Amino acid sequence: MTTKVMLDKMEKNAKTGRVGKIAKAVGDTVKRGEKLLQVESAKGNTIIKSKINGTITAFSVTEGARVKVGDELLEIEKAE
Amino acid sequence: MKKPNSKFVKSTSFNPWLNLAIEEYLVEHVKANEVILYLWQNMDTVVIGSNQNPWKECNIEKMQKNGIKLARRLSGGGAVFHDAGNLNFTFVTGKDLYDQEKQLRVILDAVNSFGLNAEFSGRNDILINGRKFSGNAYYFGDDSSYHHGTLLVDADIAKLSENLNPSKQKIVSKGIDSVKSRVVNLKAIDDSINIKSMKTSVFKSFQETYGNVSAYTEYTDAAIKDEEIRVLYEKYSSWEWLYAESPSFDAYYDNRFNWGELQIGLNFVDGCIKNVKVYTDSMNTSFVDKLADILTGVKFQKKEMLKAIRSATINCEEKQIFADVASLFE
Repeated sequence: MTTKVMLDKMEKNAKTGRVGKIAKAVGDTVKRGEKLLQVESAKGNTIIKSKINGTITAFSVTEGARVKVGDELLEIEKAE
Repeated sequence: MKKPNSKFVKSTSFNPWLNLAIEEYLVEHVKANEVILYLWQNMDTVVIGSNQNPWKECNIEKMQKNGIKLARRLSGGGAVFHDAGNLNFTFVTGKDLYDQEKQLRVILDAVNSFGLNAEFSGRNDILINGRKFSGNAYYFGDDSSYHHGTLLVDADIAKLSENLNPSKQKIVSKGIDSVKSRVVNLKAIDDSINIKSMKTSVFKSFQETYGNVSAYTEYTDAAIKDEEIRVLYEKYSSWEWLYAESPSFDAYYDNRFNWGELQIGLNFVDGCIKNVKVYTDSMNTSFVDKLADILTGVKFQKKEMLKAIRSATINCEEKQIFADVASLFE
């Protein structure tokens, strides 16, 4: 099953930010709690971690991209 | 809500990588009901934001020559210069206790207790008469957060501007760029202010807001002996963290030599050269592919790039060209 990782909320009610360092690539396996990428808003730096174990199948954003709350960031194929 | 449990931590080390390791250790271990004030100072260091590019923000060559360290923090924002005339503060809190306005108020009250009239700029800076003496940045973990900032008390402003200026390479970064500000030392406004009196004042203001501290911890250079802090220290001092954590970026070089015009475009991922584009109007183009081949995969570090250039197998005609390319990277 593919799970979409969305930017559901940012700290301090920030609405927009920029994608910072992306820690993983398509095809990488990730564990729950592992760092996926960073999003930086004027309010600060937030680390987006994986909530599931699986394999990254796609990124919808690149480093430096402007993002807003509700945007899709990447897709993870959940490990069985 | 119950009154938070307030704690005070200070570091007597001036090692930026150790002080940042202690800061991360604190944010990893702070309890939900705790607010920690952490005071620390670094010897000559440029500290960049989590999503910044050191090649874009500072003059790495000059820093190495002047013995100035580079450090990357966890929080966002721009590059700052620290020396012994600068005091750093960090509020480390459980997630629900994080209150930026309250924390900023602690700092404003501490500064204004000297009879000054400092104010928050709204852009993460604290100003006095329109000039910045404090930059603030924020990090949000899963269960805890921190807010930290600088206080320019008696810093070497000339050194600050010299080392924050990038070198001649043209860097196009996908990271976060710094915003330049007019800065001022607090001591220049009131010469009764020094690092010691400022520390006392921040501590006093913290206790007035959060109540008397229940614990006091002092870290020295020996903190590195702690296993968990040592692992974090190794991260903060590693090439990978300092350079390869930069978002991908491009660098350009161009110059005219007696054999023709040369432009080199480099694209980087994780601090290493991934793509090389060479443009020349020279009659001899045999070197173009050779140059691209030898640079691909090399770290974006002068020493490594020169080593690659010098180890290339070249013919007589290419000798001058490769020497000129090397001069571009020098």
